[in-house]
Amino acid sequence: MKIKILLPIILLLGLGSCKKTLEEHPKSIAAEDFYNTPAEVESGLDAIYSPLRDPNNLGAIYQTQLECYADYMYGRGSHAVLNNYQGLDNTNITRVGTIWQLFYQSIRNANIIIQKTPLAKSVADTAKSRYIAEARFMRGLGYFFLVRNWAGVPLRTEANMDSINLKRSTAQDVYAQIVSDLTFAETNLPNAPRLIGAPSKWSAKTVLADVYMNMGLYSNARDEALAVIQSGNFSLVNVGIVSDFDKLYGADVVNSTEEIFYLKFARAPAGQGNYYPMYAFYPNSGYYPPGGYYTFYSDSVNNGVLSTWDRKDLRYSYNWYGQTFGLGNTTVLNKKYVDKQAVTAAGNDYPMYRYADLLLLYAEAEMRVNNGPDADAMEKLNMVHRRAYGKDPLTANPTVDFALADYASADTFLTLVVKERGYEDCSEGKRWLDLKRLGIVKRVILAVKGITVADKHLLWPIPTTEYNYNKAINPATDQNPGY
Amino acid sequence: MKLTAFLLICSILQVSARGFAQKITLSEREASPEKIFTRIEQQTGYKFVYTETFLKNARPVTVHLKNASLDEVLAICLKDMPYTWSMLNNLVVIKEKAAENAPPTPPVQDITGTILDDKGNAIAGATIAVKGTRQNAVSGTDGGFSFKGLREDAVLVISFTGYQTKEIAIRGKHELTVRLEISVRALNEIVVVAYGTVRKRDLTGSVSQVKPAEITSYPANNVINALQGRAAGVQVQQNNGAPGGSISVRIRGTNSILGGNEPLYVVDGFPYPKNPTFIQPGDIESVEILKDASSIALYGSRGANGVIMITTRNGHKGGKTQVDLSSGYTVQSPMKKIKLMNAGEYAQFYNLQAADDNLSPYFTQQQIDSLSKGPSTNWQDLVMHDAPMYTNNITVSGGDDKTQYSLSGGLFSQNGIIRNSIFNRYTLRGNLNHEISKIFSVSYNIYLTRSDGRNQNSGGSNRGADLISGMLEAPPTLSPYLANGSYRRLNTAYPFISNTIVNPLVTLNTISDKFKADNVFSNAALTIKPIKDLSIRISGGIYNSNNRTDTYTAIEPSTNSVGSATVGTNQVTSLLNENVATYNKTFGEHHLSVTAGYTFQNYVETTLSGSGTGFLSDISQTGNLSAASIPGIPNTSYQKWVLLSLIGRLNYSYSDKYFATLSFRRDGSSRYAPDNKWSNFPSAAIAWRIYNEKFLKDAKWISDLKLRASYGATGSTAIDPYATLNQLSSGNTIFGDNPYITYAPGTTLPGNLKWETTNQFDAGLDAAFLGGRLRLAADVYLKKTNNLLNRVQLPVSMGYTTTLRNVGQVQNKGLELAAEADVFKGAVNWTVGANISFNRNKVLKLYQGQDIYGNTIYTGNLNDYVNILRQGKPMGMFYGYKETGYTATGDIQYADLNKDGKISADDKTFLGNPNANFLYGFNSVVSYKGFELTVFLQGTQGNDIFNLNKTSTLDLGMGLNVPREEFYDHWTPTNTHAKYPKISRSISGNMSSRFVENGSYLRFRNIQLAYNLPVKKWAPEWWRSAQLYVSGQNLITITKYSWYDPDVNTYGSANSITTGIDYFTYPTYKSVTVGLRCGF
Repeated sequence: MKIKILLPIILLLGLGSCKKTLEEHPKSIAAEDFYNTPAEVESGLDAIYSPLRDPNNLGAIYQTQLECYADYMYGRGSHAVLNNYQGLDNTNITRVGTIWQLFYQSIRNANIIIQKTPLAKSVADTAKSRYIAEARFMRGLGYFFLVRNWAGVPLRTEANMDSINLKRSTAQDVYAQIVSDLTFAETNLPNAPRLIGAPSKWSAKTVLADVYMNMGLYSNARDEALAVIQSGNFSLVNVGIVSDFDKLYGADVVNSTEEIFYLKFARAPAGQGNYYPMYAFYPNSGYYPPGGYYTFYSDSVNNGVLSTWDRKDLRYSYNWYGQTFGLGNTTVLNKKYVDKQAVTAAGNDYPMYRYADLLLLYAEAEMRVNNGPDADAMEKLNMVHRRAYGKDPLTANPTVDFALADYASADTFLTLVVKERGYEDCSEGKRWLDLKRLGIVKRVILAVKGITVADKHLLWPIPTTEYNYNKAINPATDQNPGY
Repeated sequence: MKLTAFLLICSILQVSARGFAQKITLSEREASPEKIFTRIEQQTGYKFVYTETFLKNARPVTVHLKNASLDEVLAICLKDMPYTWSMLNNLVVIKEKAAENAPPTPPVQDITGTILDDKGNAIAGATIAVKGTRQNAVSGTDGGFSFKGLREDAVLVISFTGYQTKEIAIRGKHELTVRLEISVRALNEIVVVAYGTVRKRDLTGSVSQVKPAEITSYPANNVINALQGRAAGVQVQQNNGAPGGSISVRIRGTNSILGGNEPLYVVDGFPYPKNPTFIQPGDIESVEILKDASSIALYGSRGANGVIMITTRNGHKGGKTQVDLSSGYTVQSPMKKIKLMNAGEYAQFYNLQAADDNLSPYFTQQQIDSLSKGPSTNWQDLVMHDAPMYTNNITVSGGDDKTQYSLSGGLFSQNGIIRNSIFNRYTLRGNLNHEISKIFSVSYNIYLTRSDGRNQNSGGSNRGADLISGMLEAPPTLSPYLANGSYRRLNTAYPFISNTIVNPLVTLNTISDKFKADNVFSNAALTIKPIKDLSIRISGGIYNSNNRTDTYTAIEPSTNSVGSATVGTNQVTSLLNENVATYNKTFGEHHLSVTAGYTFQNYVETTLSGSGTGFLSDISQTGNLSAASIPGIPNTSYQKWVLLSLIGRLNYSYSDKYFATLSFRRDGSSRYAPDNKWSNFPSAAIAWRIYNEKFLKDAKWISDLKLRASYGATGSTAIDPYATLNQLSSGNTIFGDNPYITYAPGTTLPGNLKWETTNQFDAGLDAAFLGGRLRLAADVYLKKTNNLLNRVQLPVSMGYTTTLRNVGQVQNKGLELAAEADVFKGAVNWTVGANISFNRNKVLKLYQGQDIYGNTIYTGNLNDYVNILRQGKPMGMFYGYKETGYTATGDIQYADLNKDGKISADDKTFLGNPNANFLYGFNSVVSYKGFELTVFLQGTQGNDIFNLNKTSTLDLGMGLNVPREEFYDHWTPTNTHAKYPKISRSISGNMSSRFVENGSYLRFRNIQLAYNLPVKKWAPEWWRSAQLYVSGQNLITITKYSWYDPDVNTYGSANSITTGIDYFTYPTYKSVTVGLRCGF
């Protein structure tokens, strides 16, 4: 009899507390209660950088991909098809699809900050606008990478980040968004960055200058670049001998006067290093202890860019070393990012925007605005050039300087700037985009490698992971040509 | 003692109380007197008193009586038995007749007789023994026998295999005709079901039982492994051959896309959250596999994939202590080795590649000649070896009427066929039952296991970067060691060689991947029987596991390793409380059993890991992570789920003919969104035991026939905890030279999720023929899984790649047949058993019709997914490019299916099906005198395997070794129909039809010859039994599959999309065992 009374009691006791028992209390942070204090917003801001620094993106593969396209480089193994210039195979389509995904993940993280920061409870208004400016800088930068490699892409902002189906915007619309983001950033970012590796007002102006160059708005570009030069915040690092370039690119460099906007890497903790050197080196070369895939290489004799590269230019010796592995004894590999102390990955940063880049951008913009070079343009070019020969960049040096008279026409000067940028930015993933911007890809590649570049090779395909699930993009009509 | 005193009183009083007016109605077939007495007790309120000797001598009786008197019933029950009965108040006392009148010297007489079977045919070879004497005889071909000079009160004991032993008192007769009844052993067996047990003959659902003899018939490293081929509808697949390696189990096909498809394991009533690898096969009493909705409904939200009930050994009544000992020694060896090129062939092969690619030859003719003459390095021989395996198990069990116990200890140690791989398991188990009083009883069991060992496995890498791909792809031209004894570096050995290839001996010897796991599994229960027919069981269980892995990669110049250590720990605690009441009631022909209860289970898992790279010396290994020059970021995690449930079941039967079961479970799970936490899982089943119908009464050829049908819903907790919450994940980034913590959402967008539900219809038939010598079971089923949790892809531009949705529907339908037959009975016994199961799987609906792809597999030269889920097709179909031959230049030609003039992803098509048409198992046991020969075959038919091991045959710019056949049969202008394309590094390889192979196989899983030593003849009395055996496992496999073993599933796991692929898998082994099993 007792049991008949007990049983319902047991059941009631058990079930009475059901609701609470079934509640979930994970030991992690819920998005709804976050983004209220400066520290919380900053940790969200920092998350914008991680997808860019991923080894499958600007942490190695992006630059590897673009360097294999360069006139001075060749790809090996699964990257060999890249310098056939006939478009991508499945392996490489998958690779660039991942790059697309990572850029958009970074853009999503930026959108979250742009959306959530105005609601932050304990952040001052001035700090809010700085945070939003940094997020918009990063978003604009992300779209700049996307638009150059894919042309028009879906424009996801804080306003439409939750809608699944979103059509491909035109390249023009994407550029308009980039300009809007970067203009906001240049107004609201501080003179000095939040942290080394975060953007300042000058980073925004520098990127904006590059954007305007790509849009053909040369006087805007010139003005932005000039403002950065005139700020006096930056200078070229002096170089006397080849190894002095380590003060710029070396693994131990934390910051330099030349740094405008870099992606920062560190050997420790594990997983935060730069993996690009892994693709560059040959194992046991001594330059990079973790090994090497020697994915891209060149040839000091059989490649036109290298064979004509003045050996007195310190950048040649800094960039290349001989390494034979069965392709003849003039094969060379790139050693710009040496890290002899690397354990898992390198400590070298990715120099996305250096002062040298800006000077050369300025030189070109100034020339284009005036329809011909002037002394100012030539001086900026010569600053970079002198430094490459171990001379003081700020002192004219007739032994190495280019004379304006020799490059008086717009065409000859442009060719000179492009060549100088090729040497200066070797192995920085910038060459291919330059050739595309200038519309000289086909000419240059045919001249150097004897290959006619297929049109489809100029843009990457919209990944299947996008158009399969984004019903506003029709692969038949919206895909980039040739895919 | 009480009973003796009582009997004494009875005989003194000589009370006769015959003629009570109570009327009894009974209809029983082959029921034990005990059962009949219980029935009478229920109907009349009489109590019966009898001795154990009576029970031993009693034989089953068949009674069909209506409104009979006690006298009539007992006359039938005690017919031909030396017993009589008397009555005292309400007590019916059964006592020996001899006690009533014992003549001093009974007269002596002769007797002849005939032994007949139930159909009246003579039985030859039956044994007729005279009870209490050494006299015996054997019946002749006419069934006849004779004795001379027997006492008048002699009792004959007649026995014949397959028939119930019968005792007959001759009572002065001179001629006897004895009919033997067939023993339908199988049908009276008890099977374990959810929250209870049931007689097999009363089952309404579909349940397969696997017996301990089958589980221990050959040394398996895992109980579940031993189920392969034993039960219809159960697919056990060995994912790889590593010691302690994982296996996948599918019961009646694959239901779920996202969720697990592994069945629920219930060990001694405890729903165990994983595959119970800690159990020793020798500790198992029985394994039941619950397959239909009615059987699994009481496991509600966790039952959709079927339930495997494992019961460990109990003690036994009877006072005698038993000691069982078994020990085995096994030698394992690789099943086969892949025929790869030798050094000379390798050199010629890569010269061919150089020629095709317009490069100068890599090897001079002189080098080729010397390589051809010199020795080749056979990396497979260096990596694999013959390895021992030991199994040892001792069990002590016993008990009396009040207390039963069982204790066991076991040791299992397996060295893998790949060197430096080992798995050890040490187990201690105790089981105790005690009856405190008529009302209370307690039970307790505990299982302690320590397993440890060292793994060697494929790291899922390619181009020789890990052990298995290195073993298969390293050049045969290179010796493993340099002259100074150090390891040879392979990735710079040739200009054309893979930049990631690693000397497999470096991986084998310098990477130490060790694990150890402690499991405590304990369960206690209090059973209360407060009133007649009611039993309440309150139980509590704890499962606790502590795991640790220690991985150390030693300092090794040839791989640029500077020493790297990782330590990971994992702690799991799961608590279970179950309160279940069962009420049994019989009134007349009706029998009712009601089960109801309330259960609680939680599960908490925490992990902690740390790592470091860069050590000065190998001495500290994982012992001092703080000495690492690059410390890794430590990591911890926490996960918890809770499941609250109400259960209810009603069993009703009428007259042993009609059965009905209604089951219900209501589950509340913490994992789901607040409004969707609770769900109901009802089911119903009916069965009709036609055999007990009057119209089959005279059908002698049939010995049992039952039809069953069931329908119901079960669920699957397919999602991980917290999947419905919007959580942020932390990460790292660098500013300056320092790490900063980041917070952002992951790549999965949380969704508002509800339960995945599987509805299943099952119809089955159980039958026995020819006196039970042939037993059959057949089932057809149709399962539909609705609200399928689906990882829905999002356009990656959202920043999220996937979200979870309840969309999709999958169907499985199938047929299962199992048969068992006693082919010969007598001096030679031969029993065969066979089962076959057919399952057809189909994806009915997916989110917006979107295909779902399996994992992308990167082989170096290929990078694509292999499996696809598409509406209207079976799950996991192979999808890729179809080859049509070769181009004019010897490259691979793919079919341009959309006719757009180019080969693109749109040209992909279905290449094969990893799902088998049917699975089967066949077991044969022949015994003669002390010898016993067991042959167990098992196989699958009609499934395909995607053999990705062969990607190297298209990846010829990397200096990888390839199967020899490629050297002899590749495209040349004169051999355009070759198996392989031209030898060039620019072959346009794809995931294509080339890799699809027939995966059907028939395997001699076990062949065993055992000899039971006649210990009775020469050993002391305490020595019960001894068996010596020698057996061979996997000695013969008949298959067309070209790689190591068709029983493979590299990416096998709970998830079922990426399936049927063989890619650098630890090879399986064949083995020979000698062993001893003893009982004392």
